[in-house]
Amino acid sequence: MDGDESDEALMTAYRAGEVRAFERLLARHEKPVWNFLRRFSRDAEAAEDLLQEVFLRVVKDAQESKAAWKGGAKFSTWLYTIARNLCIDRARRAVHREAASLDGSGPAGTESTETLHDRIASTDALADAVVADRQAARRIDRAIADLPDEQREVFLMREVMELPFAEIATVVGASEPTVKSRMRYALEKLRGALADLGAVVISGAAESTRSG
Amino acid sequence: MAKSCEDVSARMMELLYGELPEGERAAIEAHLETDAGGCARCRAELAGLRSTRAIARQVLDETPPASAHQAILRAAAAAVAGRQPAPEKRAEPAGPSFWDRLRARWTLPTLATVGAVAVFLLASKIFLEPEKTYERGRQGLVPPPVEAPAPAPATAGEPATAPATAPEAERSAPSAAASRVAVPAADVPADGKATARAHGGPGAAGGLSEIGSGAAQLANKRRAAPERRTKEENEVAREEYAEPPTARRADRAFAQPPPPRSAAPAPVAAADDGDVLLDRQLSTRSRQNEGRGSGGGAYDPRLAEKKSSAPAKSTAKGFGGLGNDLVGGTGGPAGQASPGTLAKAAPPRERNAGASRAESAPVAAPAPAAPPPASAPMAAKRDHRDEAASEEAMADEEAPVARSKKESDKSARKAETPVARADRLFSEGRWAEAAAAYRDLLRRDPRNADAGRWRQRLAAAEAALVPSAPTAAPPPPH
Repeated sequence: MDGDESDEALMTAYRAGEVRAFERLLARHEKPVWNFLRRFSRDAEAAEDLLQEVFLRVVKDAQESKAAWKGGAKFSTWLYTIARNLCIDRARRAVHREAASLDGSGPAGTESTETLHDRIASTDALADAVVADRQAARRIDRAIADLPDEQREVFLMREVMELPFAEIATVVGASEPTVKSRMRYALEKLRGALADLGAVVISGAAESTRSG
Repeated sequence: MAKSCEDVSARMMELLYGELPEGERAAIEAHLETDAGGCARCRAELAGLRSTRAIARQVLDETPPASAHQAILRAAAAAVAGRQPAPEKRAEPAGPSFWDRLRARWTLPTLATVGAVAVFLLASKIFLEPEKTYERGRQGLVPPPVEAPAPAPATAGEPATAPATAPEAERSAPSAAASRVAVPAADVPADGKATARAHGGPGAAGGLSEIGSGAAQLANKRRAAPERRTKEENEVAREEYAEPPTARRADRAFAQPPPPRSAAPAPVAAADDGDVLLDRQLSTRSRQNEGRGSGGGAYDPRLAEKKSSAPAKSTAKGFGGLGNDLVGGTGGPAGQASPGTLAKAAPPRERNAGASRAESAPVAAPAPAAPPPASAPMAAKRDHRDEAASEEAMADEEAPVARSKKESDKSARKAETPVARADRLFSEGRWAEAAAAYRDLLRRDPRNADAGRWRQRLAAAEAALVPSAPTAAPPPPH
């Protein structure tokens, strides 16, 4: 077995009892799933529970005789569907609790203030690169978290999991044009939120994007 | 075709993520050209989105917490470990190895026996119809209509010359005596004999008309060779063979209106010169086969079938070891015994036909070679014993062979290529082929150290073959 083995082959191998196959699957997908959960759930602690739960589902499914994942299906689609649905379930169960923090409570509120402050005083932030980076990161976090759920999930699946639009459409159960349109809304919203950051960061990042 | 700003805007996401259809890319890129009057607004739009992507991605590369990673790995290993013993246990002791052993020991001999019995039953159904046999028996005994008279005179002339030369020949080559003595016996009814068989001669369980005619040919060839026998010898032979219980029983059987099965012996036995030759060839072969090992086992049952149509003696002889022992017990060396056998085969008919005929035709005396009816069952018994012996021999032979084969299969060099292939098919997701490959590996080498893994992969590949729904969990309402 080499490193190029497909997800499906690895999953099938794990189902056959090869723990190492699962380790490779985990290495391949843990980070994207984590970043998706982390941004989609807006809660690092919840995201950690969810991360375990997602992969435990995979483990469990591999032991079942009537497995949910079949050899013919794309593993990543299945995996990200689990991740998304667990996220949504959790959000629904905790809706009352979440409702209280919709517009940011505790640190989120502070962040929000900071964001606003940063927006106003962005040029000051640039004076100190470290501070600027930290602040910028917080602002980006916030901007993503502020996206509506359906835009956020599409944005994250595209940027973090790097799923093609067609696959995202399958996962979220929407048409491909709808997915593209949500993606575009999400990007435009982010651009609006991070416009001032963009003036600074863009110079480097945009170049790399263009060249790439 | 030039693209408008709306066209480009509609394709902005595909453009941004590299999913533009090949056909449209050139036109859209032309619209965005920096020089040559490209659309600056669209270009700025694209650049803005790109920079936003770049900014956002800076925070989307977090490493997952190690605690979660470890917990997942532990769970994954535990799940597999908890499941592992079941298939291993199930597969190892009761699996294919048991089957192999069973198959090696029983299947072949059993099939051979069943086949032989089936052929015998079928043949007896076809050839041993009571009415016809009875009729034929009577025809043979009473003044024969057409066939019977011809053979008797024809052969009668031959032995007449024999007496003078025969004794020396026999003395000089005792072992050859058997075949020579057999000749007269065969000669008498050779023609009638062959026809009787072709018509469905009674004793012809496995001896189909083919064999009958083959025997006749051989008998004819025989006639050309020096073949003779003294009256004294014939007498001796008759006495000898009158004694064995089987012979006596035969006599009794023929004293009464012949029962359906026993009516035939005379004709059958008559062909027996040819049969003796055949037997000799076969027995040589079977002995060779025995020397070779398991091959003999496969061959014997067939012999047994042919034998069942031949006189008891030749059957016994055909079976080498045991057969020869029996022969040796009664008549010493096989070569000496066989004349007796042949002599035995004919008498029933002769006795039934009446003494006058026997005396008038000296041939008739040696001719008595028909297998005593009682000896047929005996032969059958011997056959069975031989078969059983050969079964055992075969089982003993094959078991080690199979075992040693497994040993050799175990060696990595043999199994390597198929294993690699199976793994490759598996990793390529060609489940059907991979499953077949693993199945093949398991069949060939069920005790391989890697067999557990193959089994798992086989199961997994088979499971993967089932067509699937693309998504697992039902998406909850949004």
